[in-house]
Amino acid sequence: MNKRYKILVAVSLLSVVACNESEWLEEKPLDIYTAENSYSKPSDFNAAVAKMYENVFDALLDINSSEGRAMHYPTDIAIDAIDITHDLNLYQDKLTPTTGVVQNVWSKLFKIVSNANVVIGRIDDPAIKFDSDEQRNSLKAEAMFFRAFAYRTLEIIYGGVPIVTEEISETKRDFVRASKEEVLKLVVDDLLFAQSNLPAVTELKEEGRLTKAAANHLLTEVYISQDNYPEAITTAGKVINNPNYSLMTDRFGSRKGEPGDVYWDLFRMNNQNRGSGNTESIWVRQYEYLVEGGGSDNPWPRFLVPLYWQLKGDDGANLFIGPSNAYGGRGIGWYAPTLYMRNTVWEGAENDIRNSEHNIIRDIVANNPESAYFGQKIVESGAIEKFPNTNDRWWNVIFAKVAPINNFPKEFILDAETGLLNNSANNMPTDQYIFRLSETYLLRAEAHLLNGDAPSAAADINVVRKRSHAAPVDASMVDIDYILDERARELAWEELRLITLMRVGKLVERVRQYNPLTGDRIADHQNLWPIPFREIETNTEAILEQNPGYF
Amino acid sequence: MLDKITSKIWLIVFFLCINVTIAHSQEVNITGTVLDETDTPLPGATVLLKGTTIGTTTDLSGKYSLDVPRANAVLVFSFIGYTTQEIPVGNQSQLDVKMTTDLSSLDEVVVIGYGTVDKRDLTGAVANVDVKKQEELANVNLMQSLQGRVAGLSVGATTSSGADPRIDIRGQSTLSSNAGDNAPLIVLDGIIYRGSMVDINPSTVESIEVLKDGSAAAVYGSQASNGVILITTKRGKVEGKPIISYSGQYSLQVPTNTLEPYNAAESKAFLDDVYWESSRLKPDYLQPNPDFDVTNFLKTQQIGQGYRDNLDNDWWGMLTGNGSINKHDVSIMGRTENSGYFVSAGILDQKGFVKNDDFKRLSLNINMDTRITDWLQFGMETFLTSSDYSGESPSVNNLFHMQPFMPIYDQNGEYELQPDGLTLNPFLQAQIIDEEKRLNLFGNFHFDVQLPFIEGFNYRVNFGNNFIQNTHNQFNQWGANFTGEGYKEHQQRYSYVLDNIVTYKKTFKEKHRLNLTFLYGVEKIQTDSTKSVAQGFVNPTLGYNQLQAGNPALNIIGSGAEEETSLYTMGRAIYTYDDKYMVTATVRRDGFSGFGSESKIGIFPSLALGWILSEESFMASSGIDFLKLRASYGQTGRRGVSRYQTLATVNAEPTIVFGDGNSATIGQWINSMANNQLRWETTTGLNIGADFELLKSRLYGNIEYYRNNTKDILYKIQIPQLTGFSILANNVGNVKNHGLELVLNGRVIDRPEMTLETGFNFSRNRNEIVSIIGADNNGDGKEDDLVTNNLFVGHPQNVIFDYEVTGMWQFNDEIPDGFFPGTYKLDDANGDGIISPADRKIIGNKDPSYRFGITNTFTYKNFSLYVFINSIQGGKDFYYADGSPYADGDLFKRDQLSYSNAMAWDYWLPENPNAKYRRLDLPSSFVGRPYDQRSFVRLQDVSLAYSFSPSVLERLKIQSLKINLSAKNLATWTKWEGWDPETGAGLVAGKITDDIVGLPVMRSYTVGLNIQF
Repeated sequence: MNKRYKILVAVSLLSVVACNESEWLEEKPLDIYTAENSYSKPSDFNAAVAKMYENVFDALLDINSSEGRAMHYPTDIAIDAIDITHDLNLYQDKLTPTTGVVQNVWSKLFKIVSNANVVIGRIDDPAIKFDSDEQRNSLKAEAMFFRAFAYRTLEIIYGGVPIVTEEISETKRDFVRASKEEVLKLVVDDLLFAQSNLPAVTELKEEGRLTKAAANHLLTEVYISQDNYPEAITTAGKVINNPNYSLMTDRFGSRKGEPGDVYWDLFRMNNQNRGSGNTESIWVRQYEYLVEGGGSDNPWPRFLVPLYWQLKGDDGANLFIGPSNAYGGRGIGWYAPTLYMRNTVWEGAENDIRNSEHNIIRDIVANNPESAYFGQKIVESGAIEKFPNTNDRWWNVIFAKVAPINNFPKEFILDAETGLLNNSANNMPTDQYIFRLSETYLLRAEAHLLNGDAPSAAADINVVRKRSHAAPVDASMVDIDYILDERARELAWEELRLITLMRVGKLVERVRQYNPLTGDRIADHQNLWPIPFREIETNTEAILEQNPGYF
Repeated sequence: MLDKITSKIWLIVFFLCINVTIAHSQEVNITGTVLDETDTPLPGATVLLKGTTIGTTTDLSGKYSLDVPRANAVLVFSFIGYTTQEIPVGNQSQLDVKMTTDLSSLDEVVVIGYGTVDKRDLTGAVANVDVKKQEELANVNLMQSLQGRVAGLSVGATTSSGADPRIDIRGQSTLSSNAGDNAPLIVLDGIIYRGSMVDINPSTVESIEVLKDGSAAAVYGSQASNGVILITTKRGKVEGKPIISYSGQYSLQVPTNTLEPYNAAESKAFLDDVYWESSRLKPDYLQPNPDFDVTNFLKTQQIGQGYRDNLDNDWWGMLTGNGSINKHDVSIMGRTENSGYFVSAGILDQKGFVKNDDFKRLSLNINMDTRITDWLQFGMETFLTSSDYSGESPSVNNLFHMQPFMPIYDQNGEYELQPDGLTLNPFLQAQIIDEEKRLNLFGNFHFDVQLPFIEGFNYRVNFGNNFIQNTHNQFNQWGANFTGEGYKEHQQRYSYVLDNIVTYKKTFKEKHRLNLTFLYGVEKIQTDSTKSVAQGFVNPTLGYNQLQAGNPALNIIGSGAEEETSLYTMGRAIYTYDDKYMVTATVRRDGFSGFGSESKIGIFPSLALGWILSEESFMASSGIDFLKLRASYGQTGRRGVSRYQTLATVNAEPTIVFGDGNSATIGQWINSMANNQLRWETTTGLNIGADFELLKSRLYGNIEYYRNNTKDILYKIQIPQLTGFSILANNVGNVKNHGLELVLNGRVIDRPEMTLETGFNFSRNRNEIVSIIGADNNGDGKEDDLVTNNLFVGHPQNVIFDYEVTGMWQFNDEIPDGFFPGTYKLDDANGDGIISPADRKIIGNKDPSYRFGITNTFTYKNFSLYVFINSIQGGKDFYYADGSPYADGDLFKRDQLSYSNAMAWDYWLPENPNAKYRRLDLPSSFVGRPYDQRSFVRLQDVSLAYSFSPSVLERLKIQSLKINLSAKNLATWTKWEGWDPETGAGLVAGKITDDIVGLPVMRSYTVGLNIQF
């Protein structure tokens, strides 16, 4: 019996291997960072801020996504040319609380808010050692800027939205909407911090990052939204009067030796950052071709260049051998510029370089030797008069500012002699303006106008027009529509046209006036988008009010 | 009855205690023949002198010869599947024995997890599956042999080579319908197995047990909520001559379904229908418009040319076709006095329906056990499997939708790179160099220690190891914009289990039997991965083996490693009184590293009772041969979270290049919210069952009723994206499952030369969400539904919540905004006069109503015919699915359809106003779709086998020889229009969801040969 007992004890000891339970069960993440240990060094905060630059592209600028596209059509400047039924052409039918793009713009902008709140909420922890207060505040200012940028955009698109200013670390479903005024107040506060703590452009260590000027530019716009025109004018002045910023008036950059003009130069590869000599860019979305982490290339040519390479002459033969390097690549004509954008705004603009043959290509030469029209211009020769150019998809004009004319990298070129490109020649391998000094002038013009000072408004507009050799405008001609026209001439495909029109409350009116497809399918209430249905549905502990007119 | 038990105990004693001395006196030689019921000699039967290890096995003609001491000799004759007989020798020197089939196999030893138990002592719901028929059927995956065979076990159909099917036991206890979240625990030779099922060669499997109820599964505690499948591989059991076997099979596979894309003429007509508003003349759109030219809408000039040239390329036909399975297995099995062994090698080569959907498996198994001393035994179960999925298949979706007039070749006779203007030519896709292999090494090593002075005591140490290495190398010379893209990817996972198992079995005073088990163990899983990608190859010659030939600026590297640990303690007591009353009690305590720091440990108790009524005197004249009632109540858990899910994770990657000509800055962001409260999901289950035998045991079976209640369900709840996140894992809710299972087996014909055995199984499960997050925010006194997650309190989980289609809008109707002629008319459920998301409602259920399977085995002389019918039924309201063409409503766009081929379906056109499906070209604001029922009856297996008779075999000097012809999925009766009712794939080709792929299920015709030396 004694022996048996001993053995049982021995076995029990064997079983209960000397092992500390909590140590054995402790979770050791080997290949992931956790929120506890990843915000402890300046480089961590730098990484968190860097992500937000990409978030902005993803939320609003990526033309490959329906979010990016919705920023440009259907507006007064573009239709979806593929089909009347396609995407948002039928605004009233297609833009509902369950539409994907309504949810996606919302969630991507709130992701920026969330990412910014993480930085803002953690960066002031004294345990984190920065090189200087300046370094700390400069990173914080960038985060503040991004939060402001997201909220300003949300306010314009959706109206007053819930305000979240702290990192959320547990389930929350009791959000309620704040008023537009409250949202704008938060935006101004954040931007004021940003503009006093962001570096001046001369102190900037890395090209492409935010500066005081970027904050002031955005602040100008937000002051206008607050009807605070004097502050808007003052703030814009801080950018305009800064000697480091001026509109480019002479040829510059990578392709200045080729036929063209300074406006054309502004949009060539590598000509956007200040390193190229460009003094009018304020905030540029950074893109680096063929570098891991260089960002997604933006397929503007695919969407805005017409489907010209499918055109047939009236002899039935193809006019082109395929997508061409000289004509901006393999467009599919997803967008067509409206007649307003192609012609109306350019009436009397013969000397305006923005309307030059370099910048708006209105006719191209057939390059298929088998066509009867080989070597002739397709419009002038009448070759495509009978072609069923539905919705202007196959031919309209080519805007060179979003087409890398004769600038496709060699990987895309099938035949260097004819310029024939492969089917992937869709993208624009350039950096992209987000804020440019021309817009600051036009924003100040808007503030002057709304402040009752049309002559000053005209003066600002004329600075922009003068650079393009356009005739000056008389103060009596300047109204908000004129400013929108000038923005179209100067900023089309750069500014987010939808946001501009919504901001000034002119979306519905101008779509009805200028958009032939969407004009009669947009409803009175659609100057605001609906609150996404999923958000209302998941916000179970409080009610998120829907915008008027939406169900 | 007691004698049987005693003999069993003796058998056990034989295996466990070899140290018995045998008196060598007055020996006499006894010979004889062992025959089966049909008087056919039974080779390989065991003949044993009772109480000793003296024994032999019968030879090819069923003969044996054994020296025994005359005094009181009793011989024990046994053979798997037959009733063991004990016959006193007396004065005889010749003893012929006729064995009878053991119908109920009540005396079988059943594997129950961390031990075994006599079948009659079972108190839980355990099904054991006869896998003998396997060798005749064309199953690549072991689980396919369980499809429809076990009541309460659901095994899905697969459509690609070497794929693992979806497995569920007794419905869905958790809130997620994801396959992985509902998969049962797999235990292979006593060790939890987390590898792919297809790596287990079905030919090596001896038996499969399915633990269905909480009490049976409770020994696996926190991983047992979805049930447990125990797999036991073969081992050398019978002393005597080694058995050398070969089996070979060849199967031809053809699709069961002939859904095909349109040919050129049909595709052209379809295109005209897509553009019906332009291709026909107003106002009634019945006359063609002579000015319409669809080629302007085609995607490239070449496609337009092909259209005009009447090109009619059968893309689908050229890159899909019949498949095959070629399978060969060789094994040696044997046993000497102290050691047993099983060695097997198998190869399998499967070719699938789509080009390059190939699978090759090479597997080697070695199982052995040996008695080292009288108190120490060593054993091991090992395998090595290499699974090879190499070769890149063209994307099914892409392939199906290639228009016939898209050119395969360019003008130089080379493959057109992008025939549809966008994606790589499927013929080139099939030429991508691709190597995808998995190496799976499994080894369980165990020692058993017995103490001679404590009878019935056993201590076992299991050291189970599993190493899995995945290699995926690919070189696509057309990738990265035709500059070449290659990668090498390695992942490996090593896991080990260390179990200490103490068992003690003792019979007291004849009537009390005790079976105690105590377990203490730990498990650790480590994973490790690296991937290197290169693009822009200067010199592509060496492909992925020379990634440094790519452009260094575009190199992408990634690596990862994960680790998880668990520890557990389990105690189990099985007590039987007088062979009539039995109790099983179990407690398991589990710890898992993946849980929140607050709650790493869980405890799972269970209790089960059994009562053999037929042993009671009052049942003696009832005519019932056997009747046992069982009841069990217990808790099991589900881990439900993968490692690191309780932590807020931060992602980081190269994000932005500031300035020109620089390299990237890393960007980081919080990717998920933390929840350190996360803990086990717990299922409490009640199971009531009865086992019975009637009509002299010619009819036998069992019936089970169960009720499972799962709470603290681990679930990812959708939250407002205002938070910056869209989901958060939480312990919420309460789900109920209850169901009924019936198994009936009968020996319908039982004559010397002819038998017919019929088996029937039926199961039905009902599921209900009792509670979700327990919130009543709308203040109506009832808990709110979680609509965004498709969860509704008081309803089953897989309901269809959608707009109800009530008809089709036609030209003359007054059509509301957002709708057009030929789009669905939707029910305004809340009657507010407008269609909005508030009009969605529950319109059906996706789960089956009930399932049944029928097996018939008919033997006549040397022939045997096996027929298996499998069915899943929806009754009135169940088993509905969306079979619509283009599941994504987004594809109802003219331009999408203009470059996409299709298969025939009944769509709306002006001349077809009563079509089943809506118009082609245009979405409406709110979609809606018709749902169809998937009910089916399938003739799943038919097999005809012929076994050569002993006289022939003797001349050939072989022990047995069997040839067979079999067919799988010969016929399916269903109203489902899509690819297959069981997969649920509708009129859409390619991947529909993670679980559903639009591809045909294959029918196979197999010839097989089975030979033993």
